[in-house]
Amino acid sequence: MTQYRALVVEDDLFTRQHLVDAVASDPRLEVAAQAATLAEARAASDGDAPIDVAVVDLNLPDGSGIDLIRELREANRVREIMVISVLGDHENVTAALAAGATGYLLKDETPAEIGDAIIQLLEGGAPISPGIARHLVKRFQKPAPDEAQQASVTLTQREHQILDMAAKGFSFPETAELLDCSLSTVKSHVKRIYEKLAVHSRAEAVYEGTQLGLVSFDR
Amino acid sequence: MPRRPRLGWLLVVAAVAALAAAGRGLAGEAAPQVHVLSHATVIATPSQAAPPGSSVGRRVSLPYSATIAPRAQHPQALYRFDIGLEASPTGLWGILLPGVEGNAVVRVNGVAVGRHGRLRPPVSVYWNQPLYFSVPEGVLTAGRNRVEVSVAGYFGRAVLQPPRIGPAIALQEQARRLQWLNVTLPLIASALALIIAALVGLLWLRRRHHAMYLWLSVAILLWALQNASYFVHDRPLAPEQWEATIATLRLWLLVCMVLFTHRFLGLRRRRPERALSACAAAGTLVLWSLPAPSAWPHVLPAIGAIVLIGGVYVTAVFVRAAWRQHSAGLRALAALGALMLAAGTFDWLARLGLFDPGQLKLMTVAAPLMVLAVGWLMIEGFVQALRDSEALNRDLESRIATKHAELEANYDSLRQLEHERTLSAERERIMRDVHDGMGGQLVSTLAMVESGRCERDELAEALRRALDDMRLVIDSLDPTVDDIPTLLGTFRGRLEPRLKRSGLGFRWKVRDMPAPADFGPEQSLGLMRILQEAVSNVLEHAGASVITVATGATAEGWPYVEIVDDGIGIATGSAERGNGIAAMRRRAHALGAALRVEPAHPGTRICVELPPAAGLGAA
Repeated sequence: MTQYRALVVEDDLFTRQHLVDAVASDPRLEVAAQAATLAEARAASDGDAPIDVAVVDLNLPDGSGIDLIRELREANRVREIMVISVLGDHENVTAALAAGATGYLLKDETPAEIGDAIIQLLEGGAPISPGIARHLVKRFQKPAPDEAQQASVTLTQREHQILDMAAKGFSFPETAELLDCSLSTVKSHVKRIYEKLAVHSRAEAVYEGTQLGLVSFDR
Repeated sequence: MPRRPRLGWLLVVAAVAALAAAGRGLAGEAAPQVHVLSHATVIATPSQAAPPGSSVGRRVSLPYSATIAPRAQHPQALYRFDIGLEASPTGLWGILLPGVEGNAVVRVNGVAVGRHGRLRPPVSVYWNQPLYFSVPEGVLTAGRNRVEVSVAGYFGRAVLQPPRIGPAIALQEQARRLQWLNVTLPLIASALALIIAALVGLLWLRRRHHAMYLWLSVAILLWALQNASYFVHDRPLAPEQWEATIATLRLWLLVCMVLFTHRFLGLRRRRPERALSACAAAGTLVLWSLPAPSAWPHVLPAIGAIVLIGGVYVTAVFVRAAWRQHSAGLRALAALGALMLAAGTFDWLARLGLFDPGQLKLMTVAAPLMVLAVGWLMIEGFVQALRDSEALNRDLESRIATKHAELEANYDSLRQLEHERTLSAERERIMRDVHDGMGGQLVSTLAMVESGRCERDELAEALRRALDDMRLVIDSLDPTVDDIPTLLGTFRGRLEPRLKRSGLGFRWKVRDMPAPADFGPEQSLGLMRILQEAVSNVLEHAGASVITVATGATAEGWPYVEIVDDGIGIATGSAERGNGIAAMRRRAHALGAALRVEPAHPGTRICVELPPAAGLGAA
């Protein structure tokens, strides 16, 4: 059986050990590299062999994990990126998702849970918690500043329904059954929502930039 | 007040200076070539018989009051002057009559030289106004010349001031000066006084309770009117009526002065005032019923004396008030009053004939000053009132501003206190919760470890329960999780692994539901603990396979969350289950919610009905 290669980026020793043990204990995963800083992570991802999944902590000593996530996504060096978060940190998880992460982990989950979550992600899952779903609903309720990007940053009715059901705690199979569509459709909708999130947050950044006078357009 | 007294004293000094100047100005009568005709012979006119005991034919010195027959059609007396001129006059000459009580016609060497005003009754009265006549060229010659002045008088007398004859230019100059001092100045004073009387009157109309303004206004008005005797020579009334009017005005002027003085100084002397008014009324009656014109020459000085005595009284009152109150304004008023009194006495004595004042009438100079002084006092009072009001306003504003700032500061500190109290209360709640919940569990877990009496699985389970409670508390505090369906979604994520391990599953029927009243972190935690307890009970006792979680609203509009299991039901429940339900009821009560535990055939339904938000659903 092929093993998925994982890169673990975490500066705290115990947590990193915990994650490494969790990955190593799952037969489907192998630890390709460990990194404690942004620089080490860059170096590790620059290697010849491709990385399947990066598990990234957001608080790194020499920079923000979100920047690393953005770099990895843009360089297309990693297939999936999981962000490590703490309880209730919807803001950062959403930012990470907007930057290109595709999943998230809670620091205090059991090794079995960690392994399962990574495998699920690698096999096409799109994890979303009720809290994050609720947060996203609120995020997308804010109107897009630029009319031209209206279509790409507002949710379709279907996407809204899926987020709504996720917020109420329905699992993907239950959602698929209730909305009368397939499970893979639900998952791809969620992935699409994450992509829209990236666009939306970029648009927000640009809007705020123009408001602050940092960005100007030649019209 | 340093400014005020200076102005007041300035006025007094100005008054004295003016009087002196007037005296000096009029003293320059003696001009070269001007002859003052001070001696005359009184001749009877052809049209009348000489009255007995008259001075007809006598040589008299002017000013002289010739007796005339009062009942005659045209009461007249003829004054004859003989003057000798050294040379024939070169240039134009004229005759100036400085004053004649009545009107006069002048003939020089038999030639009439002109006339002024009315010679028929009511005769124009020029007692205070100079009459200038131009003598045609060639009428006057060197040597003896005869000038005859026919005076039309009244009240049985024909009074004549010494005429002057001389070069026209010099006499015209004197005439102008006399005219200005004796006629124009009083006219101006009267006009000013009328204006001031009107203003003071308007002031009184707006402030009726200050009676002093009324009396002052009327006094000034009466004074302005009685002043007309100085400059009105074409009188529309017969002399008796005119003099009666003037005298009446003066009497009532006196009354008003006294009333004003009392009000101004705040003196209550009602009885004397009433007596005075009664006397004035009586005097008025007497004046208007006087039969004989010959009585008038005696009545007028008497009235004058009465008014002067009144003036003495008023001035004395002011002097006493100024002395007592040390007020510079009052002192200035008293000084001016004294000056007016002096001028009035001078004029009165002069009229009585006690001395010859020349043409000086002090009252004509003093009166305008008094009028100005009154005007200035009014303005001062007004300005002071304005200043006081502005100062009061500023004071008020600053006090209001201070109070406002105090109030705002109070509000701010209250808000701050409130805010801190709210935060403290919430912190205390969380502290209690963590201490009791997770803290308790960790302590008992530690005890288990230290006693050495536990299995690894028991330990793991205990620690997992502690973790669960911690997650429950954190979920309850999460601000994003602000509605119950999302709360339940998170709750499912927590519990589902445990359920799966025990072979149970959720049937999820969570829908949108109305928001309950006052549902904050504390209430979220309470609700989740109830649900946690319920699910734990099902796990441990019910032997179920599916737990259904549903939400909605009751018929009465109460939002509810219900947990239904398909197990053995509570009827056959153990005591532990009963304890668990008692705990749930306690928590529900703390939420203000209703807890329903009933059989579900199969299994048990536990329903938490939460109080609805105000305005939604029936109570």
